[in-house]
Amino acid sequence: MALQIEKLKHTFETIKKEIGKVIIGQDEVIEHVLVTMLCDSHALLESYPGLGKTLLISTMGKVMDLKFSRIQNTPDLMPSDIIGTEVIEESSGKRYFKFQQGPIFTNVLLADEINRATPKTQSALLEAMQEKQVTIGKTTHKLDAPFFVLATQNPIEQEGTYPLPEAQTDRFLLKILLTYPSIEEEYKIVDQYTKVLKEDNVRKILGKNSLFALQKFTRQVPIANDLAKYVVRIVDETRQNKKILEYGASPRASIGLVLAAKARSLVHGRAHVSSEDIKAMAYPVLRHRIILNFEAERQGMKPDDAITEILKKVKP
Amino acid sequence: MDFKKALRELDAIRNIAILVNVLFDALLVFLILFLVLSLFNFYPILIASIPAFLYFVKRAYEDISGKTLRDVETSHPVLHERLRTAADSLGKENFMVMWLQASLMNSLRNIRVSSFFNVKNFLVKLGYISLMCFLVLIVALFHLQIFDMANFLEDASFRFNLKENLLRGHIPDSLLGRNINIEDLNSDSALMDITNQMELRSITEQELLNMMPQEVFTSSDASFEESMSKKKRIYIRNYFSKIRSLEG
Repeated sequence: MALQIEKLKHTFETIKKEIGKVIIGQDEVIEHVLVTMLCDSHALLESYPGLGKTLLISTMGKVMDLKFSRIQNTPDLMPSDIIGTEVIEESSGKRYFKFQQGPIFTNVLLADEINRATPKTQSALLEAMQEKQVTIGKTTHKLDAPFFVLATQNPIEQEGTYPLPEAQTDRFLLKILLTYPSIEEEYKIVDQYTKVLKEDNVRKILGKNSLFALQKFTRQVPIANDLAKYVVRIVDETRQNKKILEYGASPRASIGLVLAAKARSLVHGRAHVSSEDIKAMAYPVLRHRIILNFEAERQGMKPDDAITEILKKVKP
Repeated sequence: MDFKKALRELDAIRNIAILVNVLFDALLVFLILFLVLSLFNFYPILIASIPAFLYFVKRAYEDISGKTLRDVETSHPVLHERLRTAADSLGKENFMVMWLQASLMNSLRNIRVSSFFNVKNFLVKLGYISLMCFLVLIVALFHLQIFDMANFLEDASFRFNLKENLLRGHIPDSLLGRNINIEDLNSDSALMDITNQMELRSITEQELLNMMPQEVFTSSDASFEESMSKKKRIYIRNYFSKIRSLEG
């Protein structure tokens, strides 16, 4: 038992170390992406351009030996460009339709600038995320497992974009914010990427089966009853606190928060959920599920400020 | 199964710690009440022990039933929400729960029984208990008394039921200095007590007449005439005449 536990801890440390070879800093972001994968869910990444979103996600794919695809969303992108289409093929003088898989048939899908795609395309993608399958004509095609969508959004240049409706963003387990690196981290980045030609020296740490096992363990992480109630009280407070919030989070947020806290505890090498896990994961789980009211926006509050207030009010 | 046993043992240790703590508090309550009641001679043992016992029962019940594993975690930060989680997932058997229980068992082994006792708190309580014992001893040794409440109550009770008491032949200690029954009144010393107390209490003739039925004064007795005033002699004589008539 102890050996297995040590192995598990070591695995996560190695994954972080391996990603750290390519991505400097952004420890929290790496952790949150790992949490998303352990929860078998999807994440929305928001950052300014040039912060290494694509590099981070493709590196994750390599470390976990997963197929990686990228879609650059544009207003003229059609649903069939993502999910695939049926093409006519001819063989032995006979013509028939053959399904041509789109980039969605992968394990890790990076949907870059998702808010630039039209609502129709966004819906097609989000439906696939939810159902983990796509239907073309009368045929349903199962997506490969595991299947993660990591969609990115740019907080600037909002002109000509189609912001995701709240109902759609609710399907992402986490909204991860990437911030600019510190001076020291940026110096290291410059140093690493300018001295020698970049070599892809990232090792594969996990296989698909190991990832499935970890996903199973994540759901098995026990949580104390009063901590589970604490999660529900936090989410309920987002609905009750009308001083700063117009709309609160749905019960899906409660499920997501418990699951994310479980995954975080596992990443930290613990076999139980602690209140720190819940507090830490409340931000990425709730920030895209709450809508500030006019008064809060007038005061210049951000969703994270509202979550901080809620966490101050609701005690474990 | 081992983990359940460990939880039970932890629970038992914690209960003992609570009971000892509450016992100390209850003893302190008893001593404080005993001291105060002794100063007023107000049945100190009886009246002090009832609230002390009730306090013990109430506190012990509240503390034992209200205690949570969170309290244990607070006193042992190393357990950090693990104990509650493990207790809540007792029925589940999977790798993670087993991992948690195994790691918790290691932590529980390192917990000493003494860690549940707040030594400083206990020493302070012990100091207070010693001080109270010393004060109780002083009060008892020097018969220190602010007011004799027991005597006062007995007297008040007698006055309240004076007529019935006299008719029943019972004269209480508060009036005579000692309890006396009608059978004892044959002795001279008892009779002397009655007369002296009567004088000390300054019961007026009218007062006694109001209390006694008229027939009491129908006959007389020649005893005590030499040492008592005429008025008092009438009272005593009439009283015994009445008794005799009742017995006859």
